[in-house]
Amino acid sequence: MREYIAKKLAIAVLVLIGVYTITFFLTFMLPGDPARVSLGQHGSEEAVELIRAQWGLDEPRYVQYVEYLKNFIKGDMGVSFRYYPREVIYLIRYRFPVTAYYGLWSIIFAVAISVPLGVMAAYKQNTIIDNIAVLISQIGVSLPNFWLGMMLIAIISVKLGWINPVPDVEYGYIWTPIGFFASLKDYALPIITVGTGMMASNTRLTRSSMLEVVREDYITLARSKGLSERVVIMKHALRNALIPVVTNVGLQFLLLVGGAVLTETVFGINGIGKLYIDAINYRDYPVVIALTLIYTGGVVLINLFVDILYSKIDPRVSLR
Amino acid sequence: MKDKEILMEVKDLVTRFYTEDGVVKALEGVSFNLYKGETLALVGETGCGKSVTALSILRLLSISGKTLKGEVLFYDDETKKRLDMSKEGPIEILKLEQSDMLKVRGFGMALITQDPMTSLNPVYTVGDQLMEVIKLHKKLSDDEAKKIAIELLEDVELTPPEDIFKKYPHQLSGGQRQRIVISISLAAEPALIFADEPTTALDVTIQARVLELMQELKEEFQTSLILITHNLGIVAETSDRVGVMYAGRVVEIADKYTLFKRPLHPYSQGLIAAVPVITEKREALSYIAGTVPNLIHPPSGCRFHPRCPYATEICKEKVPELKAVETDDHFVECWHVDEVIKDLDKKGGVC
Amino acid sequence: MVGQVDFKKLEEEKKKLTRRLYLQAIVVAVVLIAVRLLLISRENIDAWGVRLAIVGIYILVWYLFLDYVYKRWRDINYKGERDPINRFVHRLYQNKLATLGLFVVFSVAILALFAPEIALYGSDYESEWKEFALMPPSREHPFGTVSSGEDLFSLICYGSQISLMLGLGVEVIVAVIGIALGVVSGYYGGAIDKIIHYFTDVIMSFPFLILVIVLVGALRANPALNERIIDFSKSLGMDAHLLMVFLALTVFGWPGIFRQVRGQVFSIKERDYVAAAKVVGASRSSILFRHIAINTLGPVIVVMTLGIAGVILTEAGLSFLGFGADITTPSWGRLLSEGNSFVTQSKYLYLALFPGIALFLTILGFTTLGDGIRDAIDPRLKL
Repeated sequence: MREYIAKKLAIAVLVLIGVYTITFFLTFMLPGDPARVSLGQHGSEEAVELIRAQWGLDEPRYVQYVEYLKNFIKGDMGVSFRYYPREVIYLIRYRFPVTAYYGLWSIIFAVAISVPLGVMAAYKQNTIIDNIAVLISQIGVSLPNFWLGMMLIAIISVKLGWINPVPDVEYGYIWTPIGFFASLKDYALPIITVGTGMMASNTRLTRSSMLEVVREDYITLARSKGLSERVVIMKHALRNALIPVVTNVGLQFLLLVGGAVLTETVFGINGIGKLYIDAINYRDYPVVIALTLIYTGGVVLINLFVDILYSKIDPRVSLR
Repeated sequence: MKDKEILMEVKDLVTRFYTEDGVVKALEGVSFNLYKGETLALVGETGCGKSVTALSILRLLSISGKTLKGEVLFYDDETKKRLDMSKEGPIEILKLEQSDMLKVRGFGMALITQDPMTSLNPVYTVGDQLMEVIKLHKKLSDDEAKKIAIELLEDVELTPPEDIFKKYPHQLSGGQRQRIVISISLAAEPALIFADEPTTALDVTIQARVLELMQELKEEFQTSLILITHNLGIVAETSDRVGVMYAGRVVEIADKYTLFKRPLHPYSQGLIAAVPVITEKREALSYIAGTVPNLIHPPSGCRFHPRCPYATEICKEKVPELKAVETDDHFVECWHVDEVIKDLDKKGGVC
Repeated sequence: MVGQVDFKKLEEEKKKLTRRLYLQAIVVAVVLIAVRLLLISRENIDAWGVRLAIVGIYILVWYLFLDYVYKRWRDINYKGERDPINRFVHRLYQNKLATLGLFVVFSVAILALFAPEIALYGSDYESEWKEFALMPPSREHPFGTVSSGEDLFSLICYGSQISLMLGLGVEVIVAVIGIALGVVSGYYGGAIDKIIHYFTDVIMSFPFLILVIVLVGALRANPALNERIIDFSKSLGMDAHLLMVFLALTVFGWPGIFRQVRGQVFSIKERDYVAAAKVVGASRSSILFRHIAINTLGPVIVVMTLGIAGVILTEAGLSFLGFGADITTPSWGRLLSEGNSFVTQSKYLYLALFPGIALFLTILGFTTLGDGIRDAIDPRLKL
């Protein structure tokens, strides 16, 4: 197992460096001088030069490349161009809780609904429940989540006035034990927006996985032992059926990123997604590069985690 | 005659499967008796309903299958005690409540499935799956149950049993897995075991040993065995009585020697004749003309009539009934059994 | 002996007749297409209602033509028995959801093919009808107008062209690359396989969104690089940013099909009937094509159909964020981004509603169709 992890991490480092390089040079292809952009029209030439020097923009490219990387490894992600002199780490730390909050709840929402629904639909195949489940998952998978968000705002916030479109909550509050649950109402719409797609794909997977498992010989043998249907389903069938579902949920953490960007644009939430898009639009290179690296790193870690988890729950699988 | 105490009576079992392509009439009136301590072989081509019979009796049909008619009378006293039935007479299996049926399964009747590669749950250890049965039907502590499990593993010649106990199915070979399945079926000491093609998926070299093992264990545990197979060789080796099935009905049933020496149903004759004999000299393999009938649109009357050399009008219209012929042990369903007997005697009896 | 000769001759006959049928069909098809391109257009027919009717008739003609060709083909090759197309369609129809999907996909395809004719107003964006900006639905503008005064209904019609063009374009290229690499990798295995597989792993780990965003962002008003790219993309009928999206989607799309094909090739390679064919002496390449290709075709079509849905969804999302189509391209996603600005005022709900419905229905159509094809191809897998 250790060799497996080591090997995967080694590849990961290569990938990260590749991503860093590409991102670094691509961002410099973005037109517009960041120093100029941040000062606006009225800055004098000297001011622009000063800032360029301060930010190290007048150094040769490859120097910047190496410098930034060295610092990053030490944990210094640099200073944001847009919010100068705020450090990048500060910005990320400030905005991360919100995104994590509704992201986590989205996954909880998705799993809490999809697993029971999928199991029930498989068990009562071709009845009303099954047909509804299939329909819901088809729709959920095809529904553009940003459109869903807009429609939710339009109907629930505007027409019905039940919930505020832009969550209006102090950031420190949402991760306190009480706040974790109390803020649900305010974030309900973004959570549903991000969670519906995940819920739909999970329902489909759970259902089809259950259907496959229930047909297996070992289920018949289990029944022939005299076990009650409940035990057969809960103990024998479910454990097997949920294996692919668990990995799928793991992978869905990755989809949160795309979801975050879209959702925060629709709802105007000040989270990581918005930070990222704004950074690109405002030529805030350090933020762009930092977030890109963090994201890629996250992808690798989550993939690794999913692989390990999979090998733990399915005894047939061993890591190579 | 051996002492024949009846264990189970199956009468006119009708099972159908409701599929997209139509209604599959899998069993159209299956009847036979099973006596205590014997091995009854159910033979027939693939699709004739042998497995479905076992599943119907155990009430383990898939969602699309339903047993519409018939009676299954089970005469096991142990099971009766377990179900708290004081009434005289047998248990009517098909009429039991689901909760009672759960008590019958494993304890009164058990199943050995066909393909050992898929019969065991891959995510639990073999020992776990064995203990499951033991603890379900016997009130024992974990340690006591484990002891019994280890003993069972020894009985099926899996050594060292403590090691095997901790293994997962995928770590064992096909032969080993099948032995596990056998041990599971014996764990609660049932009165009857259905063995559905138990050796078909195994290497030929292991088949013989596993069959032998099953015979030994059957004697030791005093279990009756219904052996489902299409392999006449196995039938000849291990069974006491043989039932021949065709397209959802038992067409002939007799003790082994009688069936092999003197089959009276045209289909049975075809089957026996089709087995090549090394000592005989033949030009070509003999076969039964025609193909297996479509069970969604089966032939009318006697289902064998399209392939039967003796078929006449009545065969197309009415289904014949199982009647005792020649001895009170030998049952055949055919309208023309007398002609068949005449022809057979002319030839001096098929080998 | 006599029977054998007859059989071969029969096969020859069938092949000859089929070939003739194909030729005739191609001629007729060319004529029909010429009619469409030359005669049926906005310039020739002014009244919208009449145009719509003529388009309808034209489609009917095509349907009758294809039906005729199909029936002739069936009679030549499958006299009496059920041909594979019939069986497939029959199974598909049994799945109501998939049939609906098929209907939706056809409708969108027709919308895209005849967008200039079905739309109420022309695609000439500098035209006169810019007077009324942000008007709610009315008789002249059944879906209302957008902030630049253009009719929303027409924009949605033209938007369908963008979606389908992107979807089909990306998927076809992705399929070609994926199949080619998958077959090579699967059949030859070994080092070649490892290398190709490594590349796909790298691509799959790469953050897609980031690449696209940065690519597009980099392109923005960067004069030197842009000149050539803009001209190139104009010639293809898209704007430059959309071309970037197209490229990015292509690069990230083929690993999916590649894996699918590779897996299929591996399993088929081992299967008995391939060994049997080898025994009979079939040459290596004929084994490759015949057995492997035919068996892979079904699943690949399923993946492609679902892939189109994915492409449309992704493009819409990117355009929504401003990283896809620009103001000159009526992508549904871009229309939705406009709707987003007004979503808190219910007066302008239509701006978000109609493009969204079009987008949703189209994606839904492709996903249900893809699932339906998957079930229809191999009913054993049907769950």
